[in-house]
Amino acid sequence: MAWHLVKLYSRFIIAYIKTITAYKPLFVIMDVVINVAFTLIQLTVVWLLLYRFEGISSWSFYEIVLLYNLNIFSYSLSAMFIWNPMKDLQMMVRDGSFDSMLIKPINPLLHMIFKQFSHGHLITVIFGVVIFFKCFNALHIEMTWEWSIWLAVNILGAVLIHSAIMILAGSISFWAVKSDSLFQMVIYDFRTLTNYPIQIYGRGVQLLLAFVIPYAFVNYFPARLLLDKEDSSIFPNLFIYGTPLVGMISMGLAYAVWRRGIRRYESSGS
Amino acid sequence: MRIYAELAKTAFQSHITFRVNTLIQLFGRLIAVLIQVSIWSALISADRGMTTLEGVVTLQEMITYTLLSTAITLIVTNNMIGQVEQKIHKGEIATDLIKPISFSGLLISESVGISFQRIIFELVPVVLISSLLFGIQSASVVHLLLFLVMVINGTAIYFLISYLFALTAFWYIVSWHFGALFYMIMMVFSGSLVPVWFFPNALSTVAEWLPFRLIFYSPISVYLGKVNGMEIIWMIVQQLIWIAILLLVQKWIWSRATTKLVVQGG
Repeated sequence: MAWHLVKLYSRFIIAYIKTITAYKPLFVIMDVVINVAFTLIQLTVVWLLLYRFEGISSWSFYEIVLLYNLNIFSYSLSAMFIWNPMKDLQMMVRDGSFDSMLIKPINPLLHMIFKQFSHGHLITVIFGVVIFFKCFNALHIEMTWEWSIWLAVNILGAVLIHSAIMILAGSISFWAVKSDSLFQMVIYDFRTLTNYPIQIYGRGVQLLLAFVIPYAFVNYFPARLLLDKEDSSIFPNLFIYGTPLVGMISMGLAYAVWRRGIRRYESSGS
Repeated sequence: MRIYAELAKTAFQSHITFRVNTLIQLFGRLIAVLIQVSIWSALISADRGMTTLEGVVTLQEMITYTLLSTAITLIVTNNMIGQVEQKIHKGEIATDLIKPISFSGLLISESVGISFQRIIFELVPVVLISSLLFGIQSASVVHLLLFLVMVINGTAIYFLISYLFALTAFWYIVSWHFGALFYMIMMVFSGSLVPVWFFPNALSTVAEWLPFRLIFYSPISVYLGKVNGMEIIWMIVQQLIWIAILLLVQKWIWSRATTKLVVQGG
């Protein structure tokens, strides 16, 4: 079964690469430039912020870069597969083209993921690896086996959290006709909150980011674990190990909501 | 002139229909303000402030800076680059060009209309709510008036620059790439997020030679009373010089663009 899926996916990817090569090379180059520039500019802003200051409440520049990169890296890794499908879902539900997903002999979510691929996000992922190594170097982190496994497990958990939030935000389309601005707010506005250590915010925002939209588990708690960092947030220390668990729970929840959404779509007969 | 006013009115009306969307966008803006204010609160000690070359900057001043910068963003932002790209993709550009009104006039009217919508439904509530939450510093009447004049000039500069980037679509068919680059460079050098007085010297020199700081940083410094009489006049003169330069460049590029136009499928 799994092997079958891999074969199927590689077929889809080859078809997708063929459509990209139809574009002018300049467009593809500009895609790379824009995606790298976006990350660089964001980090420049952080650098400018900290140029005259020592750090943001005990977090040094490179520690914040690591925090930022954990967020953008896991986000892009997840968005590479799920962003396009969830963004298009609203349109597909409205004009009924989602019907075609339901009659294929493959899970509709998998099919939506398979039939596209966001190469812009892949560029951010590759650039993210570069930034990771720059950070590890600057912070003199010793990459032991144990530490690397923690890193991998946390990134995996973070990818699950991002995917779950995107699937949930996308599934709103099954209930509401126009949901794109809500989608935008959850995916962009709330996510940028965690580009900085969350203890700079008040209690309410910290609780929101830990329990309602668990972005704090994407980068804040993992960063504290990986940097072995004491900090003054309102949460118990145990939370720094929570990311894999939170990832699995949110994904389970998101998939359940997605299933309900599809059932609702079928029964409305549209 | 009446035609342009009508165009602005139509754009205004077509954008007030999505009420729930506006509400959610408003919330998104407030989150962005909250992030900025939280960062400054973490960086600057509330009682001592931060010493720079321009004198002491207090936390209250930085909060005001953030609010004014958000307000200016809401006034100047336009979607011209995307709009022109759309017009060229769909071929609408052909009919726009034979209309008895100028193409730039058409775009100005539309973005003015949309700006008014944004001022009423986003700027006013965002500034009201955030000044209630975080507090905003008041300015003298003279400084406030000068601030408004400079924001209007800044809007003209922003409009002209984005218009120039929009025109690249005549050659390149897509222009959002250039639009995104323009936006990113502007975000840094305009001082919209980090004021130029915190910049390293080399970068503040670069900012000095670019027009972007005249859109955000300069008007806000005037509002906060950070610059004196002669400097204010010099800033306004610089704004006018940039407007003149951009108008000339725009005229030249426009005359070449119309002969270069590629309409897809046309």
